[in-house]
Amino acid sequence: MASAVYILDAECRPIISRAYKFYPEEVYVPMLAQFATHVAHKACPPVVCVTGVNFVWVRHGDLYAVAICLDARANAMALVQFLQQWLDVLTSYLGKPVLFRDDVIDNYVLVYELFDEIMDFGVVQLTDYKILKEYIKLRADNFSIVENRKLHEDVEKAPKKKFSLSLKKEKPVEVSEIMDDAINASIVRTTINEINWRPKGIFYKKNEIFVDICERIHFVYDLTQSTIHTNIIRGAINVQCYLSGMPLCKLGLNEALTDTGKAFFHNLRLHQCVTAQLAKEEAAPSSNFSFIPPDGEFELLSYIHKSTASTKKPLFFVRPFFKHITTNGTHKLQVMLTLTTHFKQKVQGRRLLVVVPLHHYRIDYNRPLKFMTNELKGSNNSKIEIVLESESLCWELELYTGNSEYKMMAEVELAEMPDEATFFHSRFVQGDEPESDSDNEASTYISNAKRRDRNHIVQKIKAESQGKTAADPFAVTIHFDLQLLSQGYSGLRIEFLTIEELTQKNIKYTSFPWIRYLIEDDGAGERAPDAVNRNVHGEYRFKWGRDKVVWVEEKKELNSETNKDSDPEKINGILTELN
Amino acid sequence: MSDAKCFTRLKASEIKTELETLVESKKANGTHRLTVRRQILKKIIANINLNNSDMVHLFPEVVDTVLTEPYASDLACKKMCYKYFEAFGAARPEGTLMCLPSMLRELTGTGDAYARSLILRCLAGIPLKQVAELLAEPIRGLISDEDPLVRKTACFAISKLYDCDAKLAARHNLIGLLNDRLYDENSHVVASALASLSEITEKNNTMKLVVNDSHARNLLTVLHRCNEWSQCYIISALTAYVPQLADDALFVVEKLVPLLRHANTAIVLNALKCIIYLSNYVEDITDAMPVLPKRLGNAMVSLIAKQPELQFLALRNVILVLLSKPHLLDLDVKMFFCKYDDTLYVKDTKLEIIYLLANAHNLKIVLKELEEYATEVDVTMARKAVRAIGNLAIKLPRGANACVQLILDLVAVDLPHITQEAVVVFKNVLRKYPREFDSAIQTFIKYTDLAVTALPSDANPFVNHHAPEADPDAVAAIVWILGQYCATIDGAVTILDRVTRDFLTDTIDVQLITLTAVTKVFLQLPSKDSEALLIARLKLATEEVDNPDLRERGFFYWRLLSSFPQDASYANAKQIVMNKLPVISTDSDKLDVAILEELELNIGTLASIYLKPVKQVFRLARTRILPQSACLVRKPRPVANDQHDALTRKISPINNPDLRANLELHGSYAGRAGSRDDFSRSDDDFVESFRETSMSSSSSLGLNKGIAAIGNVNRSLTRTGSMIGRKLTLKKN
Repeated sequence: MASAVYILDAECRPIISRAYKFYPEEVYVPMLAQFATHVAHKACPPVVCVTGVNFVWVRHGDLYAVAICLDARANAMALVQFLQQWLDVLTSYLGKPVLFRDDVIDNYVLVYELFDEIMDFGVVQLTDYKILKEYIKLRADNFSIVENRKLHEDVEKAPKKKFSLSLKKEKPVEVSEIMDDAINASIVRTTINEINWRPKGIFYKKNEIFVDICERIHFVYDLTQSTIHTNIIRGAINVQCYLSGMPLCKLGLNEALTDTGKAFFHNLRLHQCVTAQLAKEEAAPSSNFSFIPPDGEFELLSYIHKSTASTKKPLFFVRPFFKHITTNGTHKLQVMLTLTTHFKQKVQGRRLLVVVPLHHYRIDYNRPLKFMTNELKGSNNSKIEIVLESESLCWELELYTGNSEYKMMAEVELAEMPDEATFFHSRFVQGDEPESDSDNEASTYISNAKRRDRNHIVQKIKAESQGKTAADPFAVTIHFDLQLLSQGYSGLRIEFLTIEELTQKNIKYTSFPWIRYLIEDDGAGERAPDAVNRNVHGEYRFKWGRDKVVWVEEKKELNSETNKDSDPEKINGILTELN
Repeated sequence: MSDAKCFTRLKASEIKTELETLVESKKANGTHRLTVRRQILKKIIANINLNNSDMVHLFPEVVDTVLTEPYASDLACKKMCYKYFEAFGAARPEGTLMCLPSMLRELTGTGDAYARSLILRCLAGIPLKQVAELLAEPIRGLISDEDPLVRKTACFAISKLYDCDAKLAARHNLIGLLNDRLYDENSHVVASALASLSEITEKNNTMKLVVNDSHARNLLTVLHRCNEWSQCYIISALTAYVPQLADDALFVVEKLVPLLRHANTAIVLNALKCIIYLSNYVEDITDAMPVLPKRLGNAMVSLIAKQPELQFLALRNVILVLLSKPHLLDLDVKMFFCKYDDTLYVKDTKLEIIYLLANAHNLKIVLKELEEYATEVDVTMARKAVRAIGNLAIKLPRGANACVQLILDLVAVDLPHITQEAVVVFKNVLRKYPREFDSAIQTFIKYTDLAVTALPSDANPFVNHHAPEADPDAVAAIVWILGQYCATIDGAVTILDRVTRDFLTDTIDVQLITLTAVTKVFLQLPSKDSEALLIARLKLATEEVDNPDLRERGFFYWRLLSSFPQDASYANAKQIVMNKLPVISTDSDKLDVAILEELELNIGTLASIYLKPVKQVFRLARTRILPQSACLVRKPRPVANDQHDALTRKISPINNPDLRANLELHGSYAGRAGSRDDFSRSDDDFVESFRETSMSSSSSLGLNKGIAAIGNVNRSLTRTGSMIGRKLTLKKN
């Protein structure tokens, strides 16, 4: 498999490396320069062959994790998976979501020790942080990091408090034990035990287990044809387990645990602890199953639910309307949005973001953005602005309830009116931007974002529309987060959850199971460093076509324009007219 | 103190003085000495990492650390010393041998298992024959040590020793010991022994990993008790199991199916590999396990939700299975539609899969999706989408109409990159369905001729801005269409004149095609204009061009047309030039069975990413073939062996640095390679017309080279063409 593993910095210079086989380093180092030119290419796949040497690489922030291998039959998939997991281990150790060059250098002793444990002679050994942390402990001179980690944990905890009342973890953190190097022999043996995902002898004062059903919705709707283009729910049951001893959990779902035929689950993926238990009990998968959970956080199972296209109503619906007005040589664009929510009125959501890309227009930023909503005057619920970085109109709702209608109208002045005939082709013109330009934009974007300290969602959207490809200008996107009351959006429900201590039958402890139903965003392709923060959103995209645009040639006096904008009645009139 | 401070380049002498002061200082007590010593060792290790070979001079000091108390019993110190030995042990054999006895003593002692496994790992990691020799004896005991951790480390140590000195390993029968470990009670040791054995057999051509029936069953029971990586190796090793009965194979497959749900992608892919491999030993596996295709399909689809790197690898392997055993994967093409934030290489691969999955039933949605991509911002993606549409037209005769309609719609958008690509694919469509789309040609030409050649200044400024240079492929295609279908195009002569007016600066491909086209036009539409055009181009080709091929081609046509003065209607020449074209098809993208079989056995490996047989990526690697067995289902081999050789010979050198180009080239839908080859064909129409007489078949290359047909076919074909031309003219003379 791998002959060596490297961590490279942004310029592909090695920061730290470990050779696993007897090949002199001088062989690869000159090739790194060539590798750098490959990686710089946007479309460089994760496996690169440079003069007969294969570089398997994964990007992590500014760093590259690279495995070098000389063997054709090396398992590329295992290597990529290994690199990913290894980076996860490192980030968990250092308590940072994204690592930088200095983090690695500051902790090179630790990284070196990890190198030893994760791989031997190029064969992957162990990449489970929960186990590794038990016998590679941080040194005392990394106290700053321990501190960081605690801080980080606090940050993680903070948003969760919103959801459940008691989320204070009383973790038996080994911060105090970090000093001693002695290794608990039973822990070393965990790696070679039957239940290798859970060390023995875990103890918590308060035994808690949190079960989250997180569903991410990817929904695309074609407004011109009134058809649902995609409606896929990717769900997962995430568990945070703080239980003592060897607990056996029994979970009952309202759906059977199979993915054959017309089952509820598709692409069901189970954690090892479930499959092992199923194999042990030789039980056919049913809706009730038991497992011995690993300690801490893990994904119990994940699935895709598809059969919703016809039966499930979308949670939101948005109807955009674009009006291009030319008055006495000034060009204006009016964007009208009607948003309706289709779920129980008592369900409340926080933070909903409607994004209308305007990057295909040439907006006159010297003129102010005017906008109006149908909400009560003085309510601070809506925030409307043009986000310069992605050149899109963002409408943010702080709070929204089910079964209601929200309207908004915004007006911007354009430096140039798009041509009606070629309007729907204008997106091509956009694509020809030189690449360096977008890089610059990205860097200014980062500084901007820092300065403004926007909330999480807005940043993410920007990164999306900035980083990779420009958003489709003819689609309105809604990003939201929502916590449902009694079941997941797909209808998945937890019927019961019981916990039983295996090793000491006589000691029964009371445990506190917490269950939540969440809707998550569809950022599946990305490695979310803040995966703990569940407070994210689903994504709905509405594609619109010619019927949602009009061109109007108005030849009025100039003052009529100001009148119109300051008159909320009139705008509301327009809005109702549109529906 | 932060570790970063250690990360400065130091001289060996500086560290030496630091150590000396430590030894001399009187007030320092034991613990202080230990921490300082640790710090110094850290600096040494950091410097090794900085590639500071000066550190080799510190060997005596490090040996001293290992041998003297209290450092010798401090785990942190020891770990660092071991690292030092691994780095420089081979450079200073005498020093290494000095501390070896004490290390061996500890190793064979009854101390802490963890400490002993550390020593073993370190010693085995020193690539020194003397060390290996000394280690060979104790390892015999260690491999059956009572502690599983030591046994596990010993397994890997053996493969290291083997790597260092194979003869020694053979002498001490270390491989045999490793074999015994396969029946170890601890599943992790079993997995390590397997991983170690496969490492060894991989390198050695005389040994082969064989898993027999009872052992396979044993491995399967052990499987659930290991950690993810051990599982990974066990499944991988199961591909060495040769079932003798179809039922045995099915039994293993059944046990593997649940693993398709594992969170670790490597396990999923290994399980897929193993299942696909075993399916060769069952007459009709879908009969025995009707749910299997669905399960495999689901497993692959769920990998698409992973990080882009993993996605990419999974998708590459989906392509592979779709090429070799499409009936085993039940996939919904919708799942492979690109998301707008997919990375470019993922999009690329998805597009290939969409092409492979398209059939008469889903053509409508596929075309709708492809239309989206074609109008996408990203130019390369748009081009590929257009190409895919054209190839679909060739792949699905019933859907050809819809595809052509879509191409025409896209051309109407009037964007140069789309138009250029559209011309190329439209030409292929015309080749496949020679008379079906005559009505479309007129419309097509109307939109394309300007965009393709990107006339300077006088043309539409929009076009100029976006297509500063004309795409030679597109120009060649349009010239071919004009020549072939001039009878159905209004003003073909004028257009051809305009398109080829930069004859002298065009690429050689375009020039050759131009000569053929003007001849065709002249023969089909004999008029003053076409004659003038013909003479003008032939004159340029024969008088002003330096390229001998082109000049010869010019002379050839000239002679051809002037050799039959009595034949006013040029019937002979017409027969030769306007001969019936061989029909192209996408059947040629079906790969050779042998290559597919080999790729299939390498699912998940690097070879599967390059979609090339292992031999071509790595010369020294062994080719893997399906082992014989009573129940092996042999597919008929339609492709003759010599053709296989022909394909492999044309493969570009193994160390092609440009992987991107490789991937593009080897794409299973007609990539650039495919269409280019085709150019040389169409340009060599006249070669084809002589085929029956002069050459039974110059080459059997079709539209799609698919995976294995690579390289400079283009050039070689052009050359063949003109050689034949030359021969013929010589004969005539």
